[in-house]
Amino acid sequence: MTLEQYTALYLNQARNGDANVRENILEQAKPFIQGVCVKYCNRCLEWGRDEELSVGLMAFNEAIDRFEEAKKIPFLGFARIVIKSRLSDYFRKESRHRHQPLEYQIADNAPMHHETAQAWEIYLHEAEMRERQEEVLEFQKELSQYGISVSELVDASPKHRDSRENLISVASILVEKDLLMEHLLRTGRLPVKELALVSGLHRKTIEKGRRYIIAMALLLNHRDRFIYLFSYLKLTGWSERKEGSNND
Amino acid sequence: MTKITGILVQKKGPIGVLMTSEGYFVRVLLTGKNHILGQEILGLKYPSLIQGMAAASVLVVVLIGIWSKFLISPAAAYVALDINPSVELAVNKSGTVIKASGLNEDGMALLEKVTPKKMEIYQAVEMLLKEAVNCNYLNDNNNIVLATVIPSTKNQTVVDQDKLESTVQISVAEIPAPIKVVTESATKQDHRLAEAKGLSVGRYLIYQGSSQKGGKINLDELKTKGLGELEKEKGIEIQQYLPHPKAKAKVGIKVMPSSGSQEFQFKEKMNQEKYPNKNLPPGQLMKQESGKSSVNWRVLPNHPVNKEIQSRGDDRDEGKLKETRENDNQKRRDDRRQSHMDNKKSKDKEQRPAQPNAQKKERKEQEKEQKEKEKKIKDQKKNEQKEIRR
Repeated sequence: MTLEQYTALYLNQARNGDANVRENILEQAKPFIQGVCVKYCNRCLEWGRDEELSVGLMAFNEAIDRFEEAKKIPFLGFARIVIKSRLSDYFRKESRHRHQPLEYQIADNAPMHHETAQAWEIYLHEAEMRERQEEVLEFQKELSQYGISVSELVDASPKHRDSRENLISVASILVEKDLLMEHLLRTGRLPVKELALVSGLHRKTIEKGRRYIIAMALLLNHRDRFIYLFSYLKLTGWSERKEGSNND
Repeated sequence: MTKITGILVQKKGPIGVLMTSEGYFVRVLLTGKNHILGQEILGLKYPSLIQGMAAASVLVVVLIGIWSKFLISPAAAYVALDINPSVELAVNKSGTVIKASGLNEDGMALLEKVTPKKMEIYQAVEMLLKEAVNCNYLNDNNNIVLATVIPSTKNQTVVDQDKLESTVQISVAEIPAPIKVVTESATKQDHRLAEAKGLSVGRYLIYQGSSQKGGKINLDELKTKGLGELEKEKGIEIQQYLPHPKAKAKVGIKVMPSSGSQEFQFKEKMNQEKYPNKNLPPGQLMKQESGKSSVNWRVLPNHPVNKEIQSRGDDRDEGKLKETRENDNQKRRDDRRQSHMDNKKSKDKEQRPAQPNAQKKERKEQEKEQKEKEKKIKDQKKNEQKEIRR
């Protein structure tokens, strides 16, 4: 089970006060938190050694409490924003209060005032926008590595829903098979023959939808990087399950 | 155009690329401003090139249609008819009526009964006049038809004055009373001035003429009274007041028994005898007789059409000549036959009318004899040669 599915399933339970579930989620999210922190700090981090990771973990915990579905942000994206903002806070404090006793820092964790809450809202919105933009640009960059531009993708994407779903299923198969995905990532070429065998579609349909399959496979494979884009797609099915969990 | 929501993936001016939740990448027209990449956005679906071309072609067709209806056919000329009802017809380049307007009450009443729109100008004039006759606008008392042609530019021959006159005369011919037909040409300026005074152009010209010559006619009278009535009341000749009229003197326009028409009637009878069922297609009729079909045909004196008929009569004289020639030929043939019979009866007679033939025969016989002689000589020679060889 991927992290999105896991959080989608258990987030509400954790928020309602189930400590065990929350612990489980945090445990599951550790690699994600580590990834975000490493990227933000630009250096190698290890659990138990680096304080940044524990700040990240606390931020993730905060994100579980603060998450609002009405904002239409995927939870992981939200969590990433929270982690990054807390890390930046942490670094600022570090540089300012390097020689101050610990009590002052504890005072910072006091409950938030109204003004700060508003500022937080604004910050969150801006951060979300920025992250979304960065993500899209990153996706474009990733595509260009495989020689695909967005306008090409428009031409390549099938207009009929069933044919689109066929190609997406091929992409998901591709992502599931590590060997094939590795082949794609290494050579930049789609293993058409193998995919035709596995998916049962004709070789030509796969070749026609080559660009679309590659794009979708990249999106599915790097779901940690393209949180917003990936969460927007209904194809994964976890969003439906999430709705189901909300009804519980 | 359908609305589509999706994440904005690319932006180029007003055109963006969206990724929908179903994984569909679409090119859309962005609505509103300040879009940031990655935002969820409502966009109008951008029509494809083919759709655009189709829409454009449809638009072009529609525009051409509108253009041809409104722009191509501005009035190339106006024809004003004045009896008592004054009617003005606007004619386009191809000679069809595009607008008909009544200039006084009678004219409007007349136009309520018939609609000359989209008809050929001559047909329209004919129809209007017939309707005027039916409604008793044209009668003994009121017996002038003034037709004025106003070309919108100079030297334009959309409406031919002579032809117009002839059609007027033809259509007026049903009435026993003598009708005076006056045609007049006017300029566009006159048309404008007349419009300003609320008169038809013909009446305006009369008014102008009368004011120059002493002013016998009031504006009100002109507006309300028929031209024929005016003429009789004032004792004037209308064409005197017109700048360059083409008036035919008062002529009784009836079916005139003339030499040409007699011939024609004869032909018509012949036709009726030959083709009792007149349901033949017009093309056939045209073939059978290289003129018009003879239905509803009237002959007018001193009239271009009439002249044509007369000229056709001349043709028929030629036909007569042909007939006489044929008769001569037959006579000759009969003579020959008779003479031949005579030859058979009296071979011994020296005077043979068919001498040349006999001479020819003799010549042929002589030639044959000669050939035989030559042959004999040749044979003899051959035989001699053979003997020598032996």
